[in-house]
Amino acid sequence: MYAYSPSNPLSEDDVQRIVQQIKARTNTGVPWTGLSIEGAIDSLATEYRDELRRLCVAERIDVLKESNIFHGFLQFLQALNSVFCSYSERASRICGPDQRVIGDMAWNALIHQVLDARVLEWMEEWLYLSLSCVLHCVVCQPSTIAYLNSAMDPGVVAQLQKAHRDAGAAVVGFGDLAAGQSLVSDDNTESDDALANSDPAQSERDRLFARVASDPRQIGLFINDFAGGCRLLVILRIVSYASRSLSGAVDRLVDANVQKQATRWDTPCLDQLLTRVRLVAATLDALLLYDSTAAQQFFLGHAETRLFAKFSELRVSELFGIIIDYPDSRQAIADLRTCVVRQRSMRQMAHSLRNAIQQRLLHPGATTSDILTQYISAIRCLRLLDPSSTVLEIVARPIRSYLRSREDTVSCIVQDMVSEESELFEDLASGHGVIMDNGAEGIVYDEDYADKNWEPLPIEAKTVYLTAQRRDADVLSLLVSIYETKDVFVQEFERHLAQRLLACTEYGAEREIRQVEMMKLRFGARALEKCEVMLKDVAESKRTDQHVAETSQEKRWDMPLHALIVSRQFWSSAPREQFAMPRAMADIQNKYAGMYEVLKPARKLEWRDALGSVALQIELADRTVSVSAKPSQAAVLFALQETPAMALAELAQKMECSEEFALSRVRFWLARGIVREIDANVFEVVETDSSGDDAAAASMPAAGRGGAGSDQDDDDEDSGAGAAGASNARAEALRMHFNFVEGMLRNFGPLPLDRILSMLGMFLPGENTTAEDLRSFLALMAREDKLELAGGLYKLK
Amino acid sequence: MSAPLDAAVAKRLQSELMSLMMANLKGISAFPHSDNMLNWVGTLDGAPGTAYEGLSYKLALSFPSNYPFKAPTITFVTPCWHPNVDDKGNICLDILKEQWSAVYNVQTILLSLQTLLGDANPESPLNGAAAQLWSNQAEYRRVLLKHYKEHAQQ
Repeated sequence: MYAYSPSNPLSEDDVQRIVQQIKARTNTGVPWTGLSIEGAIDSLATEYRDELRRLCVAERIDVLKESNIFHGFLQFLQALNSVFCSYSERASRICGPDQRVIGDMAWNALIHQVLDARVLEWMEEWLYLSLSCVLHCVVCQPSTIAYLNSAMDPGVVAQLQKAHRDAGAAVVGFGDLAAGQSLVSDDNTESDDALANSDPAQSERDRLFARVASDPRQIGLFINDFAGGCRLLVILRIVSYASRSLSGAVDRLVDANVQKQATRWDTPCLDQLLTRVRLVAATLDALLLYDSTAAQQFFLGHAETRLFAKFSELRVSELFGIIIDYPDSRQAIADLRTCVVRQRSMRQMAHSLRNAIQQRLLHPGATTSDILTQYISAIRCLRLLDPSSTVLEIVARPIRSYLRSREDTVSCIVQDMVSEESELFEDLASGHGVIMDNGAEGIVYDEDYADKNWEPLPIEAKTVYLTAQRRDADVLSLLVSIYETKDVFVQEFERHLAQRLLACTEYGAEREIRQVEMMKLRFGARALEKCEVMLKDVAESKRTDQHVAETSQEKRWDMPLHALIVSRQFWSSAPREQFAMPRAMADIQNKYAGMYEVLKPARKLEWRDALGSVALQIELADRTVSVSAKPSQAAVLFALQETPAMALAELAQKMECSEEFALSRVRFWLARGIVREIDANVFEVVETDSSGDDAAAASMPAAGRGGAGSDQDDDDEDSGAGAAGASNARAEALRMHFNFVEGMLRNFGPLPLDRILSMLGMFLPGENTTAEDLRSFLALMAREDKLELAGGLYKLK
Repeated sequence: MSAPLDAAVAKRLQSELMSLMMANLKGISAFPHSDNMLNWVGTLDGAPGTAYEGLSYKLALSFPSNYPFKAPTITFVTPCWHPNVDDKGNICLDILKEQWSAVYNVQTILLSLQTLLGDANPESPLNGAAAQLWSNQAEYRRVLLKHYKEHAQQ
């Protein structure tokens, strides 16, 4: 009997002896006892274990890794292989041809023990490197596949072709590729690694890429080596024990590709990525698993799952930006939809987006119109993403409640709704059903507006839906339903309409009529009765004005006045100004009123001078100036032209108004260089303009004005002194102005021009700055470094 | 949208706004909302030399329709860690409660609040933790800055 002791390794003679013994027993039919083939193989394996372990010594691996992963690992595999050859030769002698499987099993177990973590890591590195290089070759050199063909035996190639066919129609077959067709549309010579760090593998990868790119024959060599390495992996039974390294390499390759390739939102990325990833996975499947058809799709499935997970993770994190870029980002949304549907991660996506919106949008720094724009984009995007609107419902809730808390939401929506280039305007013009009160629940739709792509509600929707109907609502009705009632919108629209109608001359209100008609379709005719009356007033005024014009022609009167006659009850009340109209203007008003009272007996006209405007032709000694002014401003000029110079008190008395009232009107002319202040609060009309084009600048601090010639210098001094005197009065007014602006900006944050203008008008008494004046005033403040203007918003320095 | 506003109240608030704007005091500011004279937003900067130096707080001022016969309701909108301010922003200050008088105005209220920030009354605390720490101003400042960083600067 042969007694085996582990401390006593088998010699060649021992093996011979065992073989002899076994043969003898087999021939004589003696039943086996004691030493079995398994025992003998076990001893053999123990002997080889130490040698294999020596092969896998850590230091050696590290040295190889540093210098050359690709060839180092190939050498390592070859060394393993020679050990394997020697082992299998001896094992087959022990077992004989019938019992080979016992020897194989022992080897499997041996490899399993020997392959430690470092080797697996090394292998992952090797695979990752090789696969990126394969992908790189295919992208740069479609003929690579031809080399793949020649490097492998025909059976493998057939498998590979089948695998690639199965990978999907997107992957072009081998024959086509060999014929020079490019696989991927962007066949620039980009490198596929996205790990732009100081990875030691990095430089080697670059070297490898450079090598295969330089010479097509090198591709052949590389493919040969890679295929050889893969074959060794299979022969040495490493594949089945190293699945984690294999899938690790695939994962890294997928991640790198997603990072590198999915940078644009305006082109579809997913298909291209799928093609690349499928190609790699199918190659791996064919090279490593060609002997087992059942596992054929192992890497393919794994790689696809990884791709979808990574890609949707990326896009979900970018979704906020994607919504901002909509509609340019349509493609990204389509890609994301494919992923999310596959992953069933709608809800997760919705919550992540909701968090992003709460952090990035719903804070005091964002303007209401920005929030609205983003909300509208979100509605459109999310409807593409998820026709059932579940996501929208989750995401919209915080936006809606936040918008409700903002004061200017309604006016922003109305502004947006009536400006013809906006998307909301399209909704307004669409005529989709009337929006009723109590939110979207009450929206009544036409029968034929039913959604063709109707899908049943998902189960989770039950908890989040306020109403089943809201998901069919258009953007406008969603916005209106932020509030409980649509009245606020109608009221805001009335204000807006009144402003527009008062501003337009010539009684032209076609646009406004169209707006009111469209509002009627969406908000119901009854809600807009007041607006109807306003439009009717305009039309009626036009008729009256024609009549007045004809009558004055008959009487040979000059009638430069045109009046808008409004019904007091239906228009929001206008401010009244207390001052004496100059005789010339008052006469015209009285004539007009007289003719009106003849036409409409029992009615009386009451002039609202604050709303009027006067086109003035000012003829001065050296120039003629055309100015459009308010009646009160014109009155000041009328008063001033009668006397050479006039003190403020005198002017106020003459105009029968307060001094502040008069002063604020004088400022209008000061700013235009038509009036100047010759002494404290004494004004005169500037008959000869000395400063030429700088007239308007005279009221500004007199810096940077250069005069040429001695005459002009004298005049300059004169008007300079005048400007300085005027600027004393103005400086006080400006300081007040600025304090108010500062107060607003400090408390409300950055504001647009029109908000500042309307708040000044509301809280600074006697204030009637125009938008233009305010803009130049704020520009001046910005030059003095007190304010800054960014993105249409003024803010404090 | 706003409630009908008594002309006298509007006039009073208008003149308070005017005098506040013209006074242009450092570190305090307030302005009404454009659609409602009864609701103002205020801004309060901590006075130099106090624990609150360099910190800025937003306030909501809401005036009753019978102002100035009744005190305005004032709350901190920016979370404020202070012995006399609770976590909802409510303020414990006598002149806003039983000691209110019609001679006070926005400006005096804001100045009182600015003083209150630097000179708390730990005897009647709404925030116990802050009141306990008040005596140790260095530590108080550290905790305050941490709180401000976490809650106010968002």
